[in-house]
Order: sequence, then C-alpha cells, then structure tokens
Amino acid sequence: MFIQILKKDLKRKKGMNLILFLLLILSSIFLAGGINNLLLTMNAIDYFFEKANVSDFYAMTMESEENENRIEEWLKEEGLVEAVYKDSYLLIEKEDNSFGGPMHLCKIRQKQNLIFDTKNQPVFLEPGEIAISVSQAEQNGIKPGDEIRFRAGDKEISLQVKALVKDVLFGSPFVGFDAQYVSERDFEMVENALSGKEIMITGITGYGISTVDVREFERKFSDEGFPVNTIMTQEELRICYIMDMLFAAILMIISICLLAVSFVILKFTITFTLQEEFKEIGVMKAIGISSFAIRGIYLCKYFAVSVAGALLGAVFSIPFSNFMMKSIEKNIYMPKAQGNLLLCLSCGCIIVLLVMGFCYICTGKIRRITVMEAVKSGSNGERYGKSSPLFLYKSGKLPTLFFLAANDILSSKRKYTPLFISFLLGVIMIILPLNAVNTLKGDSIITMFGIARSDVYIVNNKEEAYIKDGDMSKMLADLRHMEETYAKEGIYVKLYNEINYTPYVSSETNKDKRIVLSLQAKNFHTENYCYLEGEPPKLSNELAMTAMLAEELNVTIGDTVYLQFAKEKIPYILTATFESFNNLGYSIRLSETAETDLKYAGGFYGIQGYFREGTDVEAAISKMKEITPDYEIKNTRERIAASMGAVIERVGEIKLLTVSVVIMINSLVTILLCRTFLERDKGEIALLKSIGFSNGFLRAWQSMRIGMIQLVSVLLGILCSYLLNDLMIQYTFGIMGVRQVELSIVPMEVYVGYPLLLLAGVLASAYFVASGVKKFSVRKINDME
Amino acid sequence: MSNSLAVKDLCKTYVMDKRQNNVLKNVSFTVKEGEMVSVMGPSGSGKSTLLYTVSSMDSMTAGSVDFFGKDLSRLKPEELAKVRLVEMGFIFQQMYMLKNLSIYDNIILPAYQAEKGRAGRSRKEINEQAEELMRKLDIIQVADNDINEVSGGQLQRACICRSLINHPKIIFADEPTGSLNKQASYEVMKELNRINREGTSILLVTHDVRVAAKSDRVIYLVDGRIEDEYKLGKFQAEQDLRDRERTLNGWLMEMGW
Repeated sequence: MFIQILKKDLKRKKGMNLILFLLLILSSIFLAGGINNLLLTMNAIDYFFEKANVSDFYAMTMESEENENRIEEWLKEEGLVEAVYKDSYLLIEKEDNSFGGPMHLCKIRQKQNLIFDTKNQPVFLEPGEIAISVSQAEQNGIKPGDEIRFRAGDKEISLQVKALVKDVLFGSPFVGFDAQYVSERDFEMVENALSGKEIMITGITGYGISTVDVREFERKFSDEGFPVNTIMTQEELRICYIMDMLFAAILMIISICLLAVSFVILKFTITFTLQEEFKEIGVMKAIGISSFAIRGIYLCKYFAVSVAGALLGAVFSIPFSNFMMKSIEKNIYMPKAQGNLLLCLSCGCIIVLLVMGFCYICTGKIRRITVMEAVKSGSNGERYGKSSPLFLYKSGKLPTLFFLAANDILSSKRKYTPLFISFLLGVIMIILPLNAVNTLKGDSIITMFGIARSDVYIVNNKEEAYIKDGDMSKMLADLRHMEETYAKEGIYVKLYNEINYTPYVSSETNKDKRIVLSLQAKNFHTENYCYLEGEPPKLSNELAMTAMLAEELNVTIGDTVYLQFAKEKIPYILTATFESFNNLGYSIRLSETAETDLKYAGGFYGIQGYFREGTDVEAAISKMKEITPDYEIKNTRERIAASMGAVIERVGEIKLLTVSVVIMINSLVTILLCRTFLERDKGEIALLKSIGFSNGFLRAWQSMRIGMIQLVSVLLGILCSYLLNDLMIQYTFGIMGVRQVELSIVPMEVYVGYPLLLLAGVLASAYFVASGVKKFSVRKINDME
Repeated sequence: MSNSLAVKDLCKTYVMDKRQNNVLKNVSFTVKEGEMVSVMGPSGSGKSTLLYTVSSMDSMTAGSVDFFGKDLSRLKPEELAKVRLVEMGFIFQQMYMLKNLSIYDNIILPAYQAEKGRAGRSRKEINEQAEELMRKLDIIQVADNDINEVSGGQLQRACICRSLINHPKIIFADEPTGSLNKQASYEVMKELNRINREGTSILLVTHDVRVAAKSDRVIYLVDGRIEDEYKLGKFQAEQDLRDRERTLNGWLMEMGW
C-alpha cells in the first residue's frame, strides 16, 4: 500500500516533490562539498610537503669552492645527517634575459623538494624546455608555450616554457628566492657558457639535508659559522605557505557557512512540505488510518526522495568542491576531491539520516493533533497566529506594494528566516575578504613590512654583486653616485639602501637560537620607522624587534639579546618593539651604525629615496627612468604591486571565488525558496488577481519581499562585518604577525557596490521565479486555506 | 436601459490529458444596467465557468463579452486587471481574504491599489467610505480583527464591502450564500438587493431558489448551453418573495431541476 500511495503522491504533487528534491540536492552538495573542503584544506600543506619530500633543512651559499668544501666536509662527518642533496643554481642577470627578473637556472630535483606540474604529475624536460613556478608565471605574465630568451657568456639561448610547476621550495613568494628548471643538457650548456664569464658571480649552491634531529643540527650548523646566505628549516618553509593557509582558512569559513546554509534549507524544506500536506494527514486520520501508519507513509516518501536527492547531491559536490579548491590548488599539491568519493557518499548518507531524523520529529506532531485540528487549521499556526503589527490604513502614503511585502514578512517571520540567514551569511562572506584585500592593496601596507614609506623605490640589479664583494663602502659610494647623477639633471633625491640579514638570535632567558630576518638601513635614520613602544635604536649595539619575537625570547625593552652572524655572538640592547609581516611577525631592526658585514646579507629590500620638498613625485620618477633606464624605478603603489602582486592577485581570486559562490548560492536558495512561496501563496495570488491586481504587481510583490529581506540582511551584514573586522584582522593579518592594522575600507565598493551586486542577483532570481504568477489561474483560489 | 454586459456565442473548452471538454457552448445573454441576473443549473453545467469567463478571470475559447462597450476578448491581461479592479466586484462562495491583513485592510486594499486611477479620491476618503460601508453592513465593530476572529456571515459581508469599495458597475457572485446559515444568507442577500437597487448590476450563480427568487431574471444552464430563462421582474418587498419562489420553483421543475 505504501508503494502505491508513494507512487500516486509523487505523480500528483510533482511541483512540491521536485522542490523538495532540488533542495535536498542543494543541501547535500553544500554538506558534502563543505566537509570535503574542510578536510582537504586542513591537511593541504602537510600533504604537499609529504608528496614533495621536503628536506628538513635547506642552506644556500654563494658558489665558492672554499665554502662548498668546508660545508661538505662538515656534513660528511656530522652524525646527525641522514642524507644530503646538492643543488646548483646558475645566475642569469636581469639585463641578460627576457624573464622579467634575475633567473636562477637549476636541474629538476629528483629525490628531495620535488616539483610537480599543475596536474600534480612529475615534470620531465627535454633540451630546449624550461619550467617555472606558478607564482613567477603570474607575476611576470608568462604562459606555457612562451619563449624565454637569455644570454649566457657569448651564447644566446632561447627556451620554451613547457610547464608551470608547484615548487615546494621556492613556490611561495614569501621565500624570497625563485628557480627556473631546465634539462640536464641545457644546464651543462649554460654552465659551460658562463664559466668563461669575466665577473665572478655565476651561481649559488643549495644543500637539502635530512637529519634525525633538526633543532640539534641547526644549533651545530650555526656554531660552525658557515658563510651561508639563506637557511630554512622545514618548519620555516611551512610558514612561507601562510598565504595558502590563509586562503584555506577563508575557504574553511566559506565551507562552514555553506554547512549552516544547508541545515537551514533542510529544516525549512522538511517543515514546509509537512505543513503543506497537513490537510492530507488530517483526512487520512479522519478515514481511520493510524498515526503510526501515516508516519510510515511519510517516512517512506521522504526516504525515497532524500536517498535520490542526497546521492545526486553527493555526486555534484565533487565538481563543486573542485571549483572551490581551484585557487588553493594552483600553488600546492592537493588531493583531488574525486579521491573522496567515499566521503561525499558518506555525506549523502548523513543527509538521508538528517532528513529522516527531521521527518521523524516533525511527523511526531501527528500523534498529538486531533482530526478536527488537522483538517481545519493545518499545523503552521499562521492562520490562528497573531497577524502583522502593520495596518494598511495607517500606512500613510506608502504604496500598497511595499506595504504588502513588509506586512507579509512581519506576519510570517519564520517563513523568511532561512532566506534571511542565507543572505546574511553571504553578505558577511563578501565584506570581510573585501576589507582584507583592500587593506593588502592600500599604501599603508608597506609600513607593515617594517620598512618606511618613501617617494621612490629603485632596484639597480647590483645586489648579488654587493653581497659577493662584501664591500659596504662600494655600495654607499654607488648610492652617492646615483644621487649625484640625478642631481645633475635637477632631481634632488636622498637615497638609502635597506639590507636584510638572517642571523641567529637568542637571549639570556631563551638560549634556543632561531634565524630571524634583520633589517638595516644604510644612509637612513631609525627614527623614520614606526614602533609600538620604546626608543629607536641609535647606537651600534642597539636594536628593535617585533613584539612577537620579544615575547618568544622572553625579553623586554632594556634587556640584552644576542645575534650571531658568523661564529661570534654579539650582544645588543633591545630599545623598542614594532610589528611587521616580515618572517610572519619575527624580525629585527638594526641601528644604522650597527657593524654588519655585507658578506652575510641575505638580500636587499631595494634602494629607497625621498625627494626634496615640493618635488612633483610622478614627474621626477619618470625623469629618473629616462636617466637610468636600466634600473627598476617605482612609486609606492607600483612597489606594493611588485612585492605583493601575486598575493594580491590570489587574494583577488579568492574574492572573486567568494563573490561568485555567494551570488550563486543566494540565487539558488532564492529560486528554490521563492518557488515554495509561490506554491504556498497561490491562493492569495489568485484572489488578488480576481480583484484586479495585475501580473506585474504580483510579480513585483513576490520579488519585493525577497528584496526587503536582502536589504535587511545587507544592513545587518554590514553591522556584523564591522564587529567581525577585529576577528578577521586577528586571524588573517594576525597570522602574518601584525595585529594593529588600520583597515583600508572602500565604502563605495564594500558597502554599496558588492551588496548591490548581491541584491541584483537575488532580485533577478526572485523576479524570474515570480514570473510563475502568470500561470496561476483564478481557479487556484480554491487552494486557499 | 443599456446593456452592462453582452455575451455572444461564448465558448470555453478545457483540454485535459489530450481530451477536449467543451464546458460552454455558444452561450449568449445580456445583463442590463441595474439588473440582477441569477444563473442556475445542475452541478457541472458550467455555471461557475461562465461567471469566471464573462468576468475575464478566465480566458474564453471563442465568442465575445462586451462590457460597457469594451470587448473584453480584445483587452490585454494588464488592461483586464484594471477593469476588474475598478469596474467589477467579486464575491465568492468561500470567504477568501488575505490572511495577513485585518478585515479593514482587506476591504480598503483594492481601493488603495486603484487610487491612482481614481483621481480625486484620497486615502482619507477611501477610509471614510470603507467605514460607511462597514457600518451599513454592520461589521464596523470587527474592523481591526483578524480574518479568523469573525463569523462566516461577517466575513462574507466583509467580502461584499471589498467588492463595493471601488463602486463597481457590476458584481459577480459565485454562490455568495453557499457556505452560510439561513440568517447570514438572508443578511447577505438583503445587502446585495440594496446594492442592486442603487444601480449596480449583479450576475450571480446559485443553487438556492430563495436567492434566485430575489433576482430580476434567472438563466438556466444545462451542459454548457442556456436551456431557457425566466423573468421574475424587480424584487420589491419581502412579502412577494414566497410567490416568486413558488413560480420559480415551478419553472425549475419544468427544466428538470
């Protein structure tokens, strides 16, 4: 009998069952997709590191036989070392290539720190081919198939980009070094060509080391005082993927929101369909079918619909999950959602169980309701509930359209709650990332990197030569020469160079040494930087450090800390604290007069400069470009774009993804819920039609209600976002080491543009669904309760 | 007296499961200005379909309906809606009202909606007219009540108020007393007769001889065709009602009622 009733029900109530079916599919997609994304993103970095077999410790030094022999001898003797893999990088200067920056050519690593193509497959290169990381390709606008030309010695070489790679070692822009991969034959050819080059710098050597005890090995390695320029432990490398972790965190938040939306929809669907069928329940009871049997019929029907909906939803959740993962997957090796088919199916089962659970609870009411109550009133209580506090005759000049829409919402608040929650979550999901993106793009972001904001930023491509020479006076002489060159042309600019070192730092209370990025400006006073507290370091034995680092070292202002550049430990007095994104919040500012050796420099932040007061900055910069065409000269905005470009672009992608997903979800939820509203309101629509309300009015009335809900959601969403901004700073900028951030909010974009876009999407969906009023005949008036 | 409604060769066909069902077959009749016409007939004869079709709520398959010189078959849906809003009134067997509005708001809703088309009538005037109507129909005391807080008779009178609020030229009523008790039916018909005497034409569908006996003319519909019609003349006083009922009953017996 149940099967017969079910068959007839499915045939007779096609519309309602279809809506239930679609909403179940939607819930299933969100639930399965959301859980899948949560699991994938939580383990994403671990998975990537495992697949790439990342070395425990990686050290880089300027190519020199003496250095290499010393390091290799020591590594051979050191008992903690399990395996060592040596990489060589051939340097091609920027002016000698068409790549867009200095190139570091390397052979594909075979054992450790493996690279993968965008399809997560190992990379093989033939002679004449080159592979570059995804982030470099994005930054320099290079696509697979493009030609990269360069000169090595007397040879002109042209290689074709075969693949974009996920490079675990240098794929993150925060590592500060990049590599381009070539075939063994091409590598040897370039190496031979460069060996005849007159200048000394031709390469860098890297050592990937596996060890049984990283902390102990790091301590011993530092004690040796090797002249290394960069050292990275696996933990430190992991920190460089903070942006990807940040994206994963954003995706996780989106997934949690999706889960919330799916439960709201599910609850609404079950309650709504049972309310719709309350009369049938009453009639069945009236003709003597027991409550238990009625319950059985409903449970049987919902089981059939939910199994079909959940299964389909679980299948659709895979492409949905993959779509959401696209942005993260770009840079890191992640397991495919397909691999989690079992998980998706499990989520489908959860949906079925939830639906059955809801159904069981909802149908429980049947036992308590008498036949008369069921037949007369239905279960929703709306008919005998309190009506709206609004009165048309007290509405002044308010058009009837607005009145009816507002009155409906206030009369049936529960009916509109699922829409309201979905919209509210959507608005928050859009505004928070937007504020983060705009702040990352803003001018003030430069000071969060622990450097001062200046008028002009110059790269003269002599960095590696300065480091190789270790001659500070030559670097300062170059700065003076540059100032003079520009002054001759009427541009008066004061230039300084920001140098970074990576010494070990320790304190009396925390003797564990850790490598910390330390900045020193030459030709520039430390008073020009922002500090949280204390006095800028002025004497050669003074320094400032980030509050996070001070906390870790357990030191306060006035305490002594130790820096170790080579073998010797040098004491410094902490005079101030500050905040910085550098090294994810762990960095040091040395005084201008601190005695440092360029040999140990890790690199340069570039030359910065201030023009004489009253100078037209843009005009001066363009003239400087004419005077020194070989230099990269940028204003603040261009400088931010250059260093944060890839990050901003990826944050922008997340923004686009979020906006697309939110608009898509809100539109889908609107379409499905509006369809149910239309079904429920068909009697009233018919009545209004009969007394002369036009289709246009009825369509506008249906859409207006949704518009009003959306508007309230936007206003409340803006308020919630305002309150949640601090949380967002803590979990986004805070992760990167800066907690005191002044958000760059673009009100027109954040509070007007995107909410309007969302509103337009939702209204268009509602208006589209509301076109269904045309099909309702006045005879539907008999469907009124 | 000129015609308020002239129906000519009206046909209505439904197609269900590829089967054609001719509900109305070349129906022609007129309703004069200020006339009250009842439509009677056995169940399934097409009475309600006739009412819905001539009032433009349902489309016609063929024929024409002339309403005060306007051919309704030629008007667009939006124009028809405006005609229904401003020039027609509707009363249904069930007391259909918007459940989220009070009795008073349900009554004034069509007037507020039509205010743009009725120059010179402010919302204040609409409110005054609604109150006057409700007073006449004795439901002013339930004005602010929800629709579930009043009796069936009060609700039907509220529906009549709503149908009259825009001073329609004609009222279409589909078994207006069908779900009311005797006393409530009497009150409702009293009001309809009063409205009719004031000049509003009425076309109503009924199964009740007592209701039909109060109309000027009765049309008898069988299987989608007008079988015959019976002229009763204007209903003047309650004491005539019994005679009118008797003669109408006799005629209906002849029709096979």
